[in-house]
Amino acid sequence: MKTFRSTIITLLSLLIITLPAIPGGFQVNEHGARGTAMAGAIFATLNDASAIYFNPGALGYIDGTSIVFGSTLIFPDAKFRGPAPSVDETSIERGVFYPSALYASHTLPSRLSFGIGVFNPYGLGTEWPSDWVGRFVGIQSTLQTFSINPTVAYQINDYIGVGAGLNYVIGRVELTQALSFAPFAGEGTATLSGSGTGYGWNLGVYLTPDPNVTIGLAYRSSAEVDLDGDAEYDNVPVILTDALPGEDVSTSVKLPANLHAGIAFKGIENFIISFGYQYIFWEAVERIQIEFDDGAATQELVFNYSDGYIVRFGLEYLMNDDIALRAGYLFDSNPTPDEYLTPRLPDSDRHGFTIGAGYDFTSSFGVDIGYMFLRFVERTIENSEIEFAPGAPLNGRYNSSANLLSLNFRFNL
Amino acid sequence: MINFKKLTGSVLILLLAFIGCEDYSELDPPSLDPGELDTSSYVAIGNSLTAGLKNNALYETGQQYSYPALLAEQMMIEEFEQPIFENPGLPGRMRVANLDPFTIVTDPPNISLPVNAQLERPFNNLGIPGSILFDVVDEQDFTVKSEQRENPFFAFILRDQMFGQSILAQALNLQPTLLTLWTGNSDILGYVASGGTQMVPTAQNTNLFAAIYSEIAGVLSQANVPVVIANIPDINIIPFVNTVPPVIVDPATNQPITDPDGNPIFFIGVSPGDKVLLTALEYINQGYGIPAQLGGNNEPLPDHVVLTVDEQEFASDVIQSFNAIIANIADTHGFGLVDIHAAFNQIGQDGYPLGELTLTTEFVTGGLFSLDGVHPSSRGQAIIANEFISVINQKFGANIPQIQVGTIPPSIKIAEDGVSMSFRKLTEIDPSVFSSVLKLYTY
Repeated sequence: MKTFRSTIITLLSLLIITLPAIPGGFQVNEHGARGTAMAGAIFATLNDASAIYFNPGALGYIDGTSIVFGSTLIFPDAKFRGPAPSVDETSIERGVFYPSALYASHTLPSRLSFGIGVFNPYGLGTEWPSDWVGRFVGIQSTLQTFSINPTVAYQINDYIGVGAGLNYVIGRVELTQALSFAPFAGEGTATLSGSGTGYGWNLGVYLTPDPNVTIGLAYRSSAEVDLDGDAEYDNVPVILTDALPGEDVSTSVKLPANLHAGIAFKGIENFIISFGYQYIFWEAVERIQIEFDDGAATQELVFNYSDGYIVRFGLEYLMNDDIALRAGYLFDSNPTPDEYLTPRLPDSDRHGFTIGAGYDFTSSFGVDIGYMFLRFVERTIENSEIEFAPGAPLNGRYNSSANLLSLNFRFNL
Repeated sequence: MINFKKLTGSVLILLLAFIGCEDYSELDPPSLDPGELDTSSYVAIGNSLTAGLKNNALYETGQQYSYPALLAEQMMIEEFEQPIFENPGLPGRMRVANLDPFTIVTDPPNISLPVNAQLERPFNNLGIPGSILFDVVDEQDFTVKSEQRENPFFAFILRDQMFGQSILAQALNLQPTLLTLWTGNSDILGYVASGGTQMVPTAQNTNLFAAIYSEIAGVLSQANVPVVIANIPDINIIPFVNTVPPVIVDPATNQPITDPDGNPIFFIGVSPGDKVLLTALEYINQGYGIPAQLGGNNEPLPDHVVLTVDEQEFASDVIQSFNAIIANIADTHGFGLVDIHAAFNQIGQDGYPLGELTLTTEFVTGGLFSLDGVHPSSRGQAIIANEFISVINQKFGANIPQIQVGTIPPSIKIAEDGVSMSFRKLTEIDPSVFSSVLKLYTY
């Protein structure tokens, strides 16, 4: 049954097509509670080992040993109304994600610094009800990445510090969707899961041209993650199982490069005012090639993403030696064109409003807490290329938001 | 020092304000502009196509996608009653039990009254499988008719004769504000499906067809019922006629066997241009139509499984006459006319595009026809409904939305149980399963 088989292969390819989309919207930028509290505008104001992620150039400025670890609880919400002209509403299942991070660094008296960071640079996911109207597009999407980032840094003089790191990425992805047996009645589910590893690198420069001004520049390269995985089918009638394509699938996915730039001012007493700009090179993720190991098909998938950027503004008020109060705002432009927006990642331009605080219990131990509300701009899709049934575009309206709560512990030894 | 309480207080208020102002606009549910159309009482008259019969059975989950039911849904009509036959319905629902060899099983009939037989009025869907044009006005007792025709649907679908002596009378009993009439197909389909061995009088004498149709049209006009009628599609598009090749195929290679000159060998009893019906498979499996040296029994394929060139021409002529009569009546009475004939010919030629998919008239894989090779799949029904919608919109100035055909589920069912009958290749499906299709058209 060639028709059925090629249909399945196309469907599986569609499963994979959404893969890079997940980091697109749910790229995790919250790698420390201070960062969360200041809307991530801390590329140029770093005082602990989380610099390994934000800007390794700052690491040489941090005295002695710094250890930071913590988690961010992310509570996403997304609603879809459609497919147009219907206005029926579906919400994603309640879920919580908790990207976590651990950073440790040590700076020698020579201002040479060594550090290592372990964090989740990309992650999260969505789960729609298994019987929802868009089930043939996507039900569950989960992406987990785990990054190990050994870093060296050096503060050259009073004005400049540099740092560099290697980035070893472990990725795991799981995607589920309903499977049509057309021309036969009934439906099953297909789950594609894969895991793999990749490498990247990162660089950072930290400048203090003036005691009251710091400038941070950092670049994190793209990482090509080779994924091997398999397709699993459920609820498939026995007589159709022979027609399903081979179980082994491999592909390679490029996680995009990121450029971080920031400037911070300390001119007003007890205040740090900070701006950040992040540029995400999505366009580089041009296409991916999927191979079914039994030679059933090779599929090339082309994306039409545009590069994305995030502008960040943060404020820190040092109330006294122990307490810091923080707030921030960010705007995140989404890279997905309307035509290819998928419910697996109901992305949109976002406004982030943040607040938080830090408290030093002792000179060597402190706690930070940060809260962020992410409001996604309502998005109306009228020209979707994504079909929830043959010839039927998944047009409709998306409303999403997320609550994030970060907590971390800091040790300065 | 800045007032700490004031600062945190205002920041919190600001934050709450942001969270409170969710970006969420109200949307209006789709609405229908009926124009001059009154949707309060919609009635459909017809045969198996109108009833929503598919896979050789009338059954609940198939009836759900009959074109009248789909039409009613698009017109946002809530009270559209069809006679609901519990799965697997009757006379015998077909399912695929295996792909290679391709195997079809038939469910035993579930012979019982519709589950909503207590309805104290006629059904809105008066599609009676196997009914011919004359049945619309025939006042014979329904039970007697069902017995005589070995067709239970007259007795099961039509209500007590106090609601009306005929199909037409029961339709009028509902005081329809919209009536669709698509009949006449069975008047010629029986001839085609029987390889030209059976004939109803209206096919033999199309004046009779014209007279009966005129009578029906006159009654409807008199009652001021807004009517939309549909014409008869070409028989050449149904898989029942188009699946089995006229030449002998090697089961091992699925390629035609050739003579020493490289020409394919026709079945005995089949001439170039003849159509071999799905019902021929039973005989082919027994060796009919196949020369002894190729392992056959040297007997010709029986007449009733072959539609000769002459028979095809006769059927086409009859359909042409029927359609001329139907067009003339639509014109005379101001009825809306759905040109199903043209629409299906177009689809037969080009397929029906559905995104990256194209539905075709090919047996099983095409997606337009159900497993019986005669009746449309649910998606095929949706395409028919869309043709009706276009005409209704035009006639009444309404804006009923078209159905997104791809959203209608595929309808070829898979059997994982039951006794299976195996056949070597797709073209060798045992025809005994198709004899019950034919039975619907036996008079």
